[in-house]
Amino acid sequence: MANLPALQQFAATHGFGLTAPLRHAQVRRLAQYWLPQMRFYWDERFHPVALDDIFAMVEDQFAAMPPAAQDAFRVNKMVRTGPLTGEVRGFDPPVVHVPDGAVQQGNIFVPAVRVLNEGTPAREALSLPEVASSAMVTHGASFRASDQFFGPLVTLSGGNTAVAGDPFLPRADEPDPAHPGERRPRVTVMAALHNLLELLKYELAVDAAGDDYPPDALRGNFNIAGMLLLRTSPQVPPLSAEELRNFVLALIAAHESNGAMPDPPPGWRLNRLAWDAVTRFAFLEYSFFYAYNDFERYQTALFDNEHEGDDEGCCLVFERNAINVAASSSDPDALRRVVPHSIITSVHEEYQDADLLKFIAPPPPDPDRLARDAVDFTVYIAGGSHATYLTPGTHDLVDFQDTWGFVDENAPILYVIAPAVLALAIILAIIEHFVDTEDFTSEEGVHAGPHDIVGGDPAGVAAHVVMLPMSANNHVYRPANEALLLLRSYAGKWGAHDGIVDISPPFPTKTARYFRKLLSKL
Amino acid sequence: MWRSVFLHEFIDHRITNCQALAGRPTPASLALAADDTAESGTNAAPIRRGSGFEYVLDAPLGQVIGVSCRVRLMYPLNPQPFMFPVIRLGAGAELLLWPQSHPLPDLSGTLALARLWLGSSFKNLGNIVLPARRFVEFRLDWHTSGQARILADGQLVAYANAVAPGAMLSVDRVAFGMLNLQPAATPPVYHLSRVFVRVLQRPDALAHLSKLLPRVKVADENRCHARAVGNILAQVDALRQFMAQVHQALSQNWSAQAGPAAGPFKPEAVEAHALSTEAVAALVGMLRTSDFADTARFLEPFEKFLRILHATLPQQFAALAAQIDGTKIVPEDCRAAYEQALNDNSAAFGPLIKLMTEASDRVRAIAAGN
Repeated sequence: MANLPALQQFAATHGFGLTAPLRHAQVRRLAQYWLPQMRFYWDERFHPVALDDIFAMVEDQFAAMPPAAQDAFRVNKMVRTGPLTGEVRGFDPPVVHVPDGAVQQGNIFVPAVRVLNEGTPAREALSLPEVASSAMVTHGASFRASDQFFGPLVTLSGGNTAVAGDPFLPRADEPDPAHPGERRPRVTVMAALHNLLELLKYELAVDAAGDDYPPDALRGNFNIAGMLLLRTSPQVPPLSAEELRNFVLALIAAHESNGAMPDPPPGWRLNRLAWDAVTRFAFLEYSFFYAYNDFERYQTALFDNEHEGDDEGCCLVFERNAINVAASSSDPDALRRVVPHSIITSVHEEYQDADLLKFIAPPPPDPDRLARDAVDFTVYIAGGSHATYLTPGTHDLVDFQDTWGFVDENAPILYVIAPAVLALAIILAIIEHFVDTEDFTSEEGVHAGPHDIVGGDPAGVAAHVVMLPMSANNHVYRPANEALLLLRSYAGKWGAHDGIVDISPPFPTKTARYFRKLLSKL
Repeated sequence: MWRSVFLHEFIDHRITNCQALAGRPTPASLALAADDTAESGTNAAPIRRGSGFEYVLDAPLGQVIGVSCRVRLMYPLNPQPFMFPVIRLGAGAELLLWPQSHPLPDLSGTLALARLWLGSSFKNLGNIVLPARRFVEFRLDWHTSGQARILADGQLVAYANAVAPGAMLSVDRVAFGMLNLQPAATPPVYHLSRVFVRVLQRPDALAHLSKLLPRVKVADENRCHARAVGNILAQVDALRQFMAQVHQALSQNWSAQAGPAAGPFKPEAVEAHALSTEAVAALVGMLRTSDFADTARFLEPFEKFLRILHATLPQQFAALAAQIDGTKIVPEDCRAAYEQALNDNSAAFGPLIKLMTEASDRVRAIAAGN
């Protein structure tokens, strides 16, 4: 259940702070300085929004509709009317709902939900005790609904049909400071800095708390302790979570006190590469959250998909020593002179192993140069899928997962469709000819990024960074940041899906994913 | 979507920074260096005699029935009168180029014979142009139904319709460049700025279909699952043999340089491809959305596609349909589990079963000449 006071209390008790010695103001400046240049596909309809927009944009626009038009955008859900009975009812979007068992419809039972925000703002429903990982936020689970609330209204030139060079503008907007009384389009990204060592330490504390720690989408995903130990032989039995945690905590304590490293448990040895990475690096992570993934609009392919709520992003990897020294320098530009070690971007699902990592070659020393003068941090967002690439153009979608597992796990499907063997065999033979799936990125969509880089760009739009404060002097678990915590700790799904295979996502942090990618390349 | 095996985009200066299935480069590969030179204009690997990259997979891929390789290549104006390898997959597939000894008259590039080693023999696919001052992305696709094609920047430049039909490969490594040639202190023969390899293994299509369907749980007794999988894959094998004959009937060997002018494909082949793609795309859409209201979106192109196949090889079509129709996918001793699964899932799968049954009926009708 959502329990913000418990999250706040836990953070206070455990001295939350993941960015030392950087204070929040320094982290914010660093994040704003390194805000990536984002190049969107010219036909992109859904640009990054703030989590708050997922509620506010829908509520505002639904309220502004004529009553006769609203019916078409109410969210229809099967709700319980009795112990075994239910009915489909329409609710004003957005809707927060939780499972409510099954109800009988004719001869079959169908799942029912309980809508938590009937007549009340949806955002407030996130704080209800029922809200856990099974909860879902939706504004209609369709391209039609998402396009209504988040889709573009005009192109750069004021038209209504996008072409290369005249792309759709983001729907989200804000007052235009240069033209009082007017509004301008904007994109919003989220950013957070994580020192990996401090993050691991806090995650271990959360892990030790077990079920006493309430659901929190910010926690539980940096579960990399198991990567710090390697078996010395395949016969060594697995460690319990407690044994592993105790060893890693001892390891951290020894590191922090410059003491002797503890001996690994019998049969295990320290993975020095992983441990070195944990102690050596900090991640500056940018999250791009999109209201809708409409990848299927771009091609005919087996992998294409569509769903509400799509989180993507990228990450700059910094040497901690470098930013620590810069943070304490009297040179106000010192932090901006630190050259990142590498860039990582998220590309579709982690299990496809398609994420990109680019090492940054250290430029020749130049005391007058800022790091960004030597490092191009431009990302290209694929149309619809929002996969994040480092180069423009067409990208083959790569997928290294072992597909045999799907056959093995779901072989019984053949029992069900066996009578139609004739059609099945032909369909399988046709599927063999679906060779590729591609992502499309472009230089000719809208551009967003730091104002001093994109400000004069005719295709530039305003970009903002919402900081997820992670510093000891200002962090997301402080009461002052409760509104942000309510959104970001929400552990349910940020979208619904009408299909029979649900691929709608929650919004976990990507730190562990980036770490695994980095480790695979070190 | 076929399985990705190896991707190297020379994204930075670390030659080992590639994306691939689990494996490792050979020590000799580490000598290759990617660089952004004036000649290449982008980060690329200069390939000389004796240089290249070989990546050995931890687990070799068996039952490979299709390969798709992309290489972004530039061949400067220094024609080498010897055949050189570009990319190799295990011992079973290799693309080689054999440049002519003189560049094109306008010095824009060089003509080269594309040769494909597939299974156990060479096949000349035809001459292709290697541009001298820009990178061109060559794509080689081969499928065990016999079709092999080369595309240059997305345009078909060479096609053959009977390349190792029925072959099944094993891929234990991916190699590009000329590691196997005697080193020589010469300028780079060519530059590579991207290498991408995908393969299709025999069970992959079934895997993709499985991903689109909800999990069905049935206890596995008597190895029923594996036997059912084996039975359906055997039917698809038979279909591929049939399709190999169809390809030979509806297409001809062709290259952009030498023709024939009629092109590689008869109109029926082009239409059949479009219809089959349309049908399966519609089916996938239905599975993804659970919207089976308009089944004609699948059934109509599916039927039209099959009618083209039937018109091409009517007797073989009818014989194959009868053979597949008579096959029991689920073995007799697994029947109880089968019936239970059908009962348990009849509601969830009702629309799909109805659609597949209708599709099967149409196949039977076509086979019967109706």
